[in-house]
Amino acid sequence: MSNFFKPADFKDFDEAPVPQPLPDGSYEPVLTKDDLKICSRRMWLMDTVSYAYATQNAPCAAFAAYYALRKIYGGDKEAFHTAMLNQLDCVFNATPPVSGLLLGAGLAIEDKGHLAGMEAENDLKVGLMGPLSGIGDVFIWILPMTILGSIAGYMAMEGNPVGILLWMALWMAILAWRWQNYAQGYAAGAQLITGLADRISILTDAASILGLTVVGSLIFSAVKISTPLAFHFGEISLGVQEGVLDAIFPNLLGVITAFVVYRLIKKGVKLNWIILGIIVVSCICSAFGILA
Amino acid sequence: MEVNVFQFILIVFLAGFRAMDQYSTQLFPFQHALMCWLVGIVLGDPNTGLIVGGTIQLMSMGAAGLGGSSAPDYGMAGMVATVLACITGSSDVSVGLAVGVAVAMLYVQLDVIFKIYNSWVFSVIRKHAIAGEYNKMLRSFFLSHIYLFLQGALPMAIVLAFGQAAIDSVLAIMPAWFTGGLTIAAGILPVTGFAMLLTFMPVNKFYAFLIAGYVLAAYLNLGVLPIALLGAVVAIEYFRLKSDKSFIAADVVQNGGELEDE
Repeated sequence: MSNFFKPADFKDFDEAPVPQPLPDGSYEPVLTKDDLKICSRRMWLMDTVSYAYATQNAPCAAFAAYYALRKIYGGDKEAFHTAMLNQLDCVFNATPPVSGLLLGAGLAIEDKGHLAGMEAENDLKVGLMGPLSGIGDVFIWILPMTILGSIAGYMAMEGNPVGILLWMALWMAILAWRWQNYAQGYAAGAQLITGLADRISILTDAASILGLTVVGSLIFSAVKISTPLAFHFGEISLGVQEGVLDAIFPNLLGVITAFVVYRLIKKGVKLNWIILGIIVVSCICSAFGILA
Repeated sequence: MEVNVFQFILIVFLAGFRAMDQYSTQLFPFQHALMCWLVGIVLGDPNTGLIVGGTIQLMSMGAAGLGGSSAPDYGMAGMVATVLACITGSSDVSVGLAVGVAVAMLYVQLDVIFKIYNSWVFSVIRKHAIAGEYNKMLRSFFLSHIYLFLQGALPMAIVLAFGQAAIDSVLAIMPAWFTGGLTIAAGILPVTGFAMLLTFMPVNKFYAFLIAGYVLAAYLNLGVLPIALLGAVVAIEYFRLKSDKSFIAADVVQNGGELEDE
């Protein structure tokens, strides 16, 4: 396990050499691919667990970068101390699974410039964390949750665990990518994220098409709501559900409910109130036999 | 149904692990259906676990707590609902679900408390960092993991210990219109998940695909997997066509307008 979260060649302050600047004031970069993978795995261990309102997710980024910083500053304990506090105090918040791309790019600057590069690193992190989260939230959370989550959820309601297993398998692929993303960010630097943001909008649109198709089908099949009411004309009776509503559109009530709830959320009504409202309305309709 | 010691420990551990995993290691984040299924397997009733888990999963879509916002904890809700549905042994899962939803709402408040607790953890981390006690600093990070584990595990232990008695007494006094209402609500509640999700998606631009999905399910009676595959077909072609065009457009710009329009 030690090589998984801590470099095998870790040296303490008194063993490691004090880094010497090159003639132009910069330093020889020391981080290897393995060091960066360790950052990625340490970030995975933390993710967003230390999220606090003050510096948001900065502590997690600091924990991830710890051994990388130790290697960069080697025997220079004072410089490491400054760099460590900078990591803890520089407000940072981006979708954790993709944060490594940006944090890795930041480490690339610090690896070369040491303390002189710290300001550029902070600017980079704060400047790009918004755009990166825009990409990350969509690709790590919203799309997998829509497509895989709804397939898994719907199949599970039918008593079939295949969707769950499919989701697990695909999520593992994301994890495997995540365990090395600092190395990618380090290699590509900041241009990766800016370049990514341009091309990604088409991909987001394409994935939204897939997501909306699935959601459209689930509004029909996963929202179960029907009425036992019936019209009586002497001998003849006409069930409202099968005779009227289903004849217009199948599961019309479900579609209407979905539309109303969507509008309410758009208007800014809190989700908890909507859920409570649904329960209250259901109880009233149950008492008067309007719904079943 | 009686819960034995082995099941008790396993489920309490699972609840603690899930709460921790969601904010840290993310091996199975937001995979509520999976967690409910596992609880069902431990309690010997995987099918109930799947049904409860599926319902909670659909409700929870769109509630991922993005950008540090607090979201209802549907994972905890699902596990509590599964435990209650399994130990009462009834085929009707609506009562378990109703309690689960209440739990999810309560946990929004706990999430805020957790973030305040984290402010204290951060002050400990920072204190050690300033003192140069780096090993102590690294260890302090795990105070957050421990807190989350307990936040999941302790309430689950209480549910397992007293859940059956509590549910039995509640069921005994509950009027028919209320249980009936909960059954209806259980069928409608997944809609909150879809609606929440739609607010994140470009509905105005691509609403036509909502109709396509609806038609495929309502009139052609296709299952969710084939519909997802058909959606993927359109998505792939859209991506191919669009990126081709943007490639040409970029080329024109790069060549400084040398390329004339046909």
